[in-house]
Amino acid sequence: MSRLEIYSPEGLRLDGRRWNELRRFESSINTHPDAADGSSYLEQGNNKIITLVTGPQEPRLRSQASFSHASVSVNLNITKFSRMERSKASHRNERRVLEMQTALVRTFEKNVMLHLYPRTSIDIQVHVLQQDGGLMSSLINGITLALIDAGIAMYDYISSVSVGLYDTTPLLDMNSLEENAMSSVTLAVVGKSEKLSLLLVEDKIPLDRFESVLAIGIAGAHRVRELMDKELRRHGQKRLANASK
Amino acid sequence: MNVADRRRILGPLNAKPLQFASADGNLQDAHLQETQSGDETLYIQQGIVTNANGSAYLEIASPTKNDQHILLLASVYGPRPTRGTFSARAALSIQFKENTLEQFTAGEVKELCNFLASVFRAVINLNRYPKSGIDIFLNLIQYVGPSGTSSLEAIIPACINAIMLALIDAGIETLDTVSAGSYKGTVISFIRNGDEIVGFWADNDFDNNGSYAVTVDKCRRHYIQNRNAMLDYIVKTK
Amino acid sequence: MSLSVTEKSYLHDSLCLDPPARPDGRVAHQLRPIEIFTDFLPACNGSAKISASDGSECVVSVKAKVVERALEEELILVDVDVAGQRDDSPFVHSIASLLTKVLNQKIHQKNLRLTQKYAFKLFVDVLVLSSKSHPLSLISFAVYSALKATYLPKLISSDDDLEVAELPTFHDYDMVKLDVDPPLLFTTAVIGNNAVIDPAHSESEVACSGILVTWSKGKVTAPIRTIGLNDEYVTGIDVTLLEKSIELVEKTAPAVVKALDGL
Repeated sequence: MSRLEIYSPEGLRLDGRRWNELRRFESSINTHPDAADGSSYLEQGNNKIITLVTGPQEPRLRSQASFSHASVSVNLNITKFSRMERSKASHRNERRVLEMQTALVRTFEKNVMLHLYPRTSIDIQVHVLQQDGGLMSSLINGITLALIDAGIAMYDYISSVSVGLYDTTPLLDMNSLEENAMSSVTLAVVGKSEKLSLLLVEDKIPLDRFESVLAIGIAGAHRVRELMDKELRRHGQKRLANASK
Repeated sequence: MNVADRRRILGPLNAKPLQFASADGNLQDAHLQETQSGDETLYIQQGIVTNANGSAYLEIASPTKNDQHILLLASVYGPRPTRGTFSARAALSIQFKENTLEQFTAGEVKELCNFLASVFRAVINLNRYPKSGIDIFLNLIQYVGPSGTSSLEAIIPACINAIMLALIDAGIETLDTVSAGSYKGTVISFIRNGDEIVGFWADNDFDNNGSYAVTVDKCRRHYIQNRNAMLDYIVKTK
Repeated sequence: MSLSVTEKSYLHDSLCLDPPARPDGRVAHQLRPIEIFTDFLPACNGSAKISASDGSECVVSVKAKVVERALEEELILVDVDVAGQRDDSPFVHSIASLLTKVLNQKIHQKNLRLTQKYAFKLFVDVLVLSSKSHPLSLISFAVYSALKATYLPKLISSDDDLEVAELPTFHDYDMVKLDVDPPLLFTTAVIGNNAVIDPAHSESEVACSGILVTWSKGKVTAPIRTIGLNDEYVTGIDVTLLEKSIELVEKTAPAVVKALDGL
């Protein structure tokens, strides 16, 4: 058991947040206009993530093309220097990374209007420069932003957040210290609805507490959606102002 | 998808070219030669790898350079057909392997291969061989550097010379007889009688061993020695 | 982006003119505009992000670790990851190997020494997000800026004895700036009778040869090497052109160093 006081009796967490507060969420889109068709840079707490989307484009191999819809591929690059302690080996072919890639592809295949882009491929590259807990949720938010920047048709935003359960209290948007100390859930929500497009539970969560965890998770994801929407509108207005000059 | 190249008539996969028994039992001896090239002794033998299109074995002993000793084998496979998309020029690949002691790191070996490939891309007439690949393999059988040290720049001239001889043996068209000379850690690979540079490799500063012009001049002299030794051998054996 | 035969021929001819007409209007000794940010990764000892005008981008992180000096041959290790290239591709490997060698050669070990027994080992991780031209000089600028913006923990223990088994101890929050003078690597392209610095992708495609020149402590030093920039146009180059490339770097490098130091 860790010696850290994860949640103080006064209701404060390690980094001073309350149970239902998000970490600092800063994003920007179109950060790499020359390198890719769509790009985003996301800072969620201490996670720093660059996402590059290229496509819809002609697939590299003709065998990859499908006549009815586009194919989505995600390439997750967790850098060796992303954690406090540098890892010696490359993360590229780790089982955990491959699993995350599959989960991301599945999530976005359902949300992107793939039937509009037959015989093409949409390639998503994610570079994790720094990670501090709740990585999966940051990846999803980053990819959503980059796909929007690339102008790829989607049904709605997908916003994601992680929630932990400390004794009986759910804690929203965990950092790595909290993530190591308790079991957690990552969920991704479609737009303003209460539809989940991803639910990732890798630990045990008591079923009678699950509802409260989901409730705060969905509320948190809606808040993340608002923050992303605000940034997109700000960016859109800036572009519009530049264009009309 | 496994589509055979239908634009070309190919023999069965395991086909071997016809070979006739040699009439002269002493043919081997004709291929041997030891040449004195400056202060180095060169021993050259071509065509010792029978299943390669061309090969050359090179022994270099330089008593003046603290008994430096290099045994090197280069073999050339190709031009052979490549699968897949059409390419207007031949693809060149060079692999380097140390057969006995591993003295160089994997990174250094990759640097060397990259460098050699860039030299020979400029020299081989790749346009003559569309839709084909030329693969060159270097085997460093032994290398004893001056006083036990190992440095990449000492073996580069030998590599270039050996590959050139193997290419000649394979009958692959080149623009000129490329060779290289070295002077105090700087290796320069020349063509056209030393007027043009195709490769330059300096890992030590000039400052302590003379200016740029001096270095180029010394390297050119060494290049001409090496090239003449190679040409001598070819003229005598062919 | 691949160029057609006609485009290449046009480019080649215009670059052979005197003075060379470069496709982006630069003069022979002019670099492309670059943008550098430093210190944006708080989990690293030093970091830099560099982006060039053609969208090439490179992120460098420097992390330090205390090691026993007797056990480590090299105190600086460079690891390169180029997006879209395999980790074991010869291109990536040879860049990493070259940078490791150059940095270890040019940076004095005493800068990283802690005690007789211990020293810092620097792990320099390079991530190339996208690169259109040869990324080596961009990487070296980023490594330079990252090393210049590297802060290491301040040593407070004063035991300096080979027999002392304990690890050195550091101040809780005080950091000392790493004082090194890293080398810079420049690439030039030789086309016809001209040498141009920092070739863009289109220029590399038609170059007769590429030359890598190292600049360290105010002068051109080794390694100097020819590098292949393309498959099609490579030929031998005149002996004087190599000297011309070196002069080109001598002319440009001081301004680059000044600009990078002004960060």
